[in-house]
Amino acid sequence: MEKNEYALDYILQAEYNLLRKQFIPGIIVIPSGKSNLIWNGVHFISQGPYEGGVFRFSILIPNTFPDGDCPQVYFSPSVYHPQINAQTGELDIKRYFPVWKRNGHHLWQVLRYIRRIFQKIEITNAINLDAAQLYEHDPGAFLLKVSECVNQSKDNIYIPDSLTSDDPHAIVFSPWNERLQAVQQHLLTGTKQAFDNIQGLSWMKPGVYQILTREDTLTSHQN
Amino acid sequence: MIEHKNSNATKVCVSITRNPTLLELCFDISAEHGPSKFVIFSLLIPFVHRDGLADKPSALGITTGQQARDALLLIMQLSNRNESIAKYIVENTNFCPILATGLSALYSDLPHRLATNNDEWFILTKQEWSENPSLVQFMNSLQFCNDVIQIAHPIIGHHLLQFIYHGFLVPVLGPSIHQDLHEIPLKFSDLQHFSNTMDEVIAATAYLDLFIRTIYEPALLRVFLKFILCAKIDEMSLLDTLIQRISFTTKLGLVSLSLFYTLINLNCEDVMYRLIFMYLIPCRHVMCSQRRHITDVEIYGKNAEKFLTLRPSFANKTNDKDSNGTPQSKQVRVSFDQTDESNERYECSFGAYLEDAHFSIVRCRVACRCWTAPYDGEVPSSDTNIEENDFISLASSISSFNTDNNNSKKSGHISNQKQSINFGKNVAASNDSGIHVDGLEINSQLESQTKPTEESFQLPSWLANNQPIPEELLTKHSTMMNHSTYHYEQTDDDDIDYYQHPSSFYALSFIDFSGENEDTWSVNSSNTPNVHIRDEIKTCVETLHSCLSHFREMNEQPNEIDENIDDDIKTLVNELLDQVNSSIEKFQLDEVDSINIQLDFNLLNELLTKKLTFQEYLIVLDRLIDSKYLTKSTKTSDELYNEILLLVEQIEQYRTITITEHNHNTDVDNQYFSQFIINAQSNYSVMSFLQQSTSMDMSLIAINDLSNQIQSNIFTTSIQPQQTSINNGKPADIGPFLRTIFIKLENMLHNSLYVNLLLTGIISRLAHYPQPLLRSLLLNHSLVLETNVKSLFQILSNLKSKLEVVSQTFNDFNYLVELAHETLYQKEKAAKDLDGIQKRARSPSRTRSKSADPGKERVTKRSRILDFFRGRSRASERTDSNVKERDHSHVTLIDKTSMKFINIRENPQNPPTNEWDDPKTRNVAYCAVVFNQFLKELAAVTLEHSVQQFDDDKIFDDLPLTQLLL
Repeated sequence: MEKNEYALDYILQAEYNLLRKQFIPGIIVIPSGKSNLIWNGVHFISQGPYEGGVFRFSILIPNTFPDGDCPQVYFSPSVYHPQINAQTGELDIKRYFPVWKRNGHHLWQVLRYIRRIFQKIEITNAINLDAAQLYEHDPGAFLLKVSECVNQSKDNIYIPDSLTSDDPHAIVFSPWNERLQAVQQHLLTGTKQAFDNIQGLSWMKPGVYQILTREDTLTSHQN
Repeated sequence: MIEHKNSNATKVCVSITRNPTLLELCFDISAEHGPSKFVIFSLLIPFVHRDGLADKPSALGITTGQQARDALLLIMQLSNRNESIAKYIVENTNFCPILATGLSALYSDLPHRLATNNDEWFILTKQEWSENPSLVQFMNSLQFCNDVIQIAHPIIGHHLLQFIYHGFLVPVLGPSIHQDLHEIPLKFSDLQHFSNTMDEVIAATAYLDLFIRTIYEPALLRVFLKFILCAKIDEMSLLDTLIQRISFTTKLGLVSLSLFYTLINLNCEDVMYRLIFMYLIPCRHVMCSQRRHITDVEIYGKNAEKFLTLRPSFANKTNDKDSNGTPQSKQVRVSFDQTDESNERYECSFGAYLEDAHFSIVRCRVACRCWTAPYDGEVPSSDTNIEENDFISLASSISSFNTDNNNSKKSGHISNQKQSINFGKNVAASNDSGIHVDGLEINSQLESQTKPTEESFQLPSWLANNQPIPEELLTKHSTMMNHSTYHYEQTDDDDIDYYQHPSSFYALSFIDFSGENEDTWSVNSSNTPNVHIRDEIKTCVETLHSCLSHFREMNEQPNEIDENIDDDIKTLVNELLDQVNSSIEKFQLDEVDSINIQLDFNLLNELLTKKLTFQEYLIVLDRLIDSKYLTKSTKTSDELYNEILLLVEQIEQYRTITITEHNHNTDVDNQYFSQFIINAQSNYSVMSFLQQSTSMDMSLIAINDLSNQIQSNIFTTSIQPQQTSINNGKPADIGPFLRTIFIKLENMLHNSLYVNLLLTGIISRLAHYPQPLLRSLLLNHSLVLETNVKSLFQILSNLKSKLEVVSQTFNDFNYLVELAHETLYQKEKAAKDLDGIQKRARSPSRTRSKSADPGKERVTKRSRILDFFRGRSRASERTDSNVKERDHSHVTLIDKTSMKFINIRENPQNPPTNEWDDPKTRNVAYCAVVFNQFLKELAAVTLEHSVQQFDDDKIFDDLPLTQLLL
């Protein structure tokens, strides 16, 4: 059915819009250029044991969304963490979203959850049992492992992710250069509104609900 | 000679503009030197309205008029920098009044009838109007006004706007649009003088539409909008009249629809507030508990899905499409667009709809950034006191003007005080003297109606004939310049110093009707207590009763029709009654669902087509009154109302019969008719009460334009806010405009193709508006509305089932739909071809006048049809032979109606072509096509909203960023 392919696009776009409104600190995420069922993200951790870590992850959204399964979250490369599968890098998301509810759950909550696991480490029902045990019994060794992981992530920051190498929307880091100054400036100072050639009309006074109460000279009307 | 003078004048003006010191030579600014003068300016004025386009082309190819206007524009530009010039122009010259009266004069020269051979015409295109010299001349002058207002000093602009409003719009355009159509039954439209009035009104509406589309200077547009939204003509709100006309089934309905499309398309807050938001702000249309859901965001596409599920599927009687051995008897239900590829090839993918919706909504949202309120149910809050004034002016002038009616009768004076606009000094002056409107009150009597406007509109002959100011006047002018005022004597009037005091200019008496319109519009208090309702209904019925008997008395001598009471008809009436009664019983059983009782359509149709006598209707009415349900609550008033409407129609029809059979009786009839109207009007408040339950099928009336008279009366009353009511003493309402549009939509199956295209176009255009109040009403199917407000979903699903039922009456409806597709595709192609020709032939227009750009205008005109079949690329992939096969039907825009036939007759396929030959059948097939496309359109718009409503502020600024990174 032709409708469905678009419906999913629109649902995902709406989800993404919701996410943008959340302003979740330390996380950037963008849908892959190849499929909007894959969202690539980076998490910058500013506090806790993982402070300084820059972890790449992808969210894989089932094509039955929002009625089907939970989305999956994979860290690439994997992160040493009780809730993250050491081999595959998959984050255990089911513990937080046992069943995905279309009206209660949104993708931005997944991002919040990602942020949370690095702040408050839980070891019950851990996936990475080693990490869980180490965390419980030898926090010092755990922290060592963690800082190793963090350092590695920092070192590899300029190395593009192999999984997203052919993705036009891939998140790529490069050292600072002057050329980017303009972009930065542009981003910081804000931009001129697009479409400012389209002008509506209104002669209403704010708060006075009566028509044609103002007599301003409006800019030329174009439709 | 004149040309030379003018071009010299232009040169002088150019020089002045370049070198302001030269101005001192031409124009003595300092007040000490006595009265100042600006000879060049004064000399140019007489040529303002000269066209000279066709008849007197100058050597340079530029016309005298154009040169004069260009030169004047230079001075206008100058005035913007030099206030004393502006003051001089306003105070000491007749520039502004001449411009405005010129419009009036030129307007009266416009064709009173727009020649069109087909029923589809609904909008004046650039191509059409540019072929008409008088229209071109008018448009030039309007354009000039537009330019002057844009570049001249604000004082001049204001002054000119005043003159345009009070000297052109209200006294000239107003009456020509507002002419009484009440007494023009459709069946008489071939009678010369009836059709004249109708044509004039149609032409005037089309002109107004054209003007609105052409003007781009906001201040001028504002005056036009003020005219449309606020003006009262003949004590009726113009807007009300225009809204009523939407429900006309004639071309007037079409033209009115297109005018409203233009208005809605302006993205103007005032227009939308007046037409829609004003009624939605109180949130009375939704259940109280639902109010918080107005802003709800539905992001999973449920609403869009819902729209798509409303697409009808048609049963195939002859199951020849899928000939895979299925038995013929089995009715195969196939979804609309899965039927076969042939439909598919005309329909574009859903993606195209989405793309279209995306850009339309973005444009609309961007345009609405300048609006003052979000209209989301919270701001303005539902408690906001909607200005009474608005309601009154909207409703009908009746209540607001009732009090000062007598005054205005006597003094012939409309006071401007109600208009909240402060026009400054000049305006204040004109307010004092006001406008004399005795001429504006179009008498409802027939004779006066048929008087052409120009007969009664007196302008100085030179102005009217488009000549320069007569030599003697000019000499007089120059000799009198010492007095700094401009006197001149009009040939056929007393000495009036028209231009000394701008206000006295209005003393021009345009029309002098001798007829005295009796003031019958008595309005009872709008707070009608529920307890009295029953009595009022009775009174109303009694009144109807009495006029009926009156009518019968008058008709008894010449006509014996009454006596032939058909038995069949009696049974019909009984059926009707039974139906009504049974629904009443249902209601008494507390089946709330059945509140909106609709009389069987076919039954009614039958009633309408057969000759019923009044006796039977009286019986019906009596029985209705006797039956208990009248004592029940207000909701059953629906039925009674329907009855009354029917009765009224019947009267009309009866009258028609009488008239056609006894032409000499017309006078008597009219007499009767005015009597009837008087009575009806005196029972006005009752009617308006009845009207409250709007769920009744107004389309019934719309079917028959015979009932225009009554219809308009009823509509008038309907608009009036009544306090009687269902919840909180306020009726649940969505306002007259939406109501009328919805009712028209309910009648979709019976509308013509072009009405449906425009109608669905208007609704989807409305759906583009991002304001939650409107969006939720149109697109959120889960929003629970008050019981007497029908949601768009309800209407559409009714239509779906109606269509499905109707489709079963044909042998192969899917095939008919396919034919409809094909025909529409051809039409669109023809339109597109013509478009191409036009674009090539387009002459370079002035860059500033964007809206006058023919290409653009063309697009706005055709976009509806063009948009409807966006799958052109797919369609063009069809085999060449197929194209060739159709090719020789060789269609042009002008001759589309005939094309329908050509196309079909040549169709080689054998299935029931004869079914297609029936216009009604074709219409239903077209309707099915339009309906399907409309649903897709709405679904796309809904999806697009679900995405766009999130980014309220920031979305639009990412364009430059991408540019930067490139």
